[in-house]
Amino acid sequence: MDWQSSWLKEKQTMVHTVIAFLLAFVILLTGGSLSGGIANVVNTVVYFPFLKINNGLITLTTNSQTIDALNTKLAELTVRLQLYNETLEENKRLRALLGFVPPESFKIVPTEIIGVSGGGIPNTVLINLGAQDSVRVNQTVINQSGVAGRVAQVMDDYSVVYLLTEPRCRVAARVKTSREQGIIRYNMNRGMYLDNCPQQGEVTVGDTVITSGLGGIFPEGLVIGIIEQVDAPDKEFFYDITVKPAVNFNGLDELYILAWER
Amino acid sequence: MTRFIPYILYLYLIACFRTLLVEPLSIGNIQLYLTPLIVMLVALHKDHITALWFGFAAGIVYDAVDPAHMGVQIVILSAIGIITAQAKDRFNLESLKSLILLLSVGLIAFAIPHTLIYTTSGVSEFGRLFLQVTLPGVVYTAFIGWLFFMIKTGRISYKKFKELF
Repeated sequence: MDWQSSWLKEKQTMVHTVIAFLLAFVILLTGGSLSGGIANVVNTVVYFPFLKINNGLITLTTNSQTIDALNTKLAELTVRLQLYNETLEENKRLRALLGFVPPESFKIVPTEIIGVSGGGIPNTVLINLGAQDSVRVNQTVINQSGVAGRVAQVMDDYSVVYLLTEPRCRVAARVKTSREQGIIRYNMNRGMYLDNCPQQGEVTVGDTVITSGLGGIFPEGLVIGIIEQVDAPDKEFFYDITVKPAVNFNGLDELYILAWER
Repeated sequence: MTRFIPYILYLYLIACFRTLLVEPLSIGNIQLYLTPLIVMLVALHKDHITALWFGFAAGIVYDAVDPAHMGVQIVILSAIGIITAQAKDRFNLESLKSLILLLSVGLIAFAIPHTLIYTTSGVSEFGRLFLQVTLPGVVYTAFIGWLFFMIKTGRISYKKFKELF
């Protein structure tokens, strides 16, 4: 028995090696259910926490990529929405213009602003139409809200327009309801006002001021603004009438020339 | 029973490496062969039978992710374990160079079948893959082994590192 035990001891490593390799080859050669079963046990016992963490990391990465993609999409859609809003506003302005009937023997010619000048508020703009487009000096310039100004100088391919905020641009006007006449002027201190309107006449706040057509430049009946304040100073012959312009000179976008049809 | 705890932790380290660390620790296509490195380090410090059965267990853990090839790595890692343990007794492994040489041979023995099994291109592309992926992987892992021995023998330490600056 002793020699057997000593032999086993010496050859212990050999026996273990043979057993281990036999087992390994059995696993390798049988495959199928045996390997699957072992793999299941090992995965459940050893791999489970790491697989859980790995799945969590994959989900986080996927979510992060989704968030990045959504942020890009959001930025793109925001820009697109802004463009749509701009188009919507333009659509509204054009629809408003469609309802505007130009005075007889005039036609509307759309034009683009290519330059603006003025101090606090624009008083002169450059437009992209000139003599070659049949633009002439003193033609009326409007937008969808009312009178904007008149053509002051005409070059070949562009023109200078004096807006109503330019002191040199005066308009013969009248109060729409009472038909009282006066002259629309503008200066930096007072803003727009209706000058030369006698105190005998009836003028009330909220009345619309329109062109009278008497100056020979602006056709009759175009809206200039709304009367904002009326003062009747003592010992003065004329009212002090402040007018709120119908046109927002700071927000000019499209302009239209009222061209004479010949 | 407590004497098994370190080996169980090594097996969990292998599982952690296979699932979470294999990509972060790879340099491009070059993989770290951590499993055979752990098996050889255990074999260099423990007896033959422990080395053999640890290699066997490491092979099971390694192959569990891919049951279709279950058995291949068990054979290879068991062989690496027992052969490393035998080599420890038969060769003089006192110098660092001989240890690294032994590690490199063991790593190549692991990496070649690993490359053949886990690359879809098969034998035809083996030469290219061996030079571009397997060999750099062996060098990378051997370098990690070298670092381990340098730290273990005290040739690299925090104190020495601090003295450099």
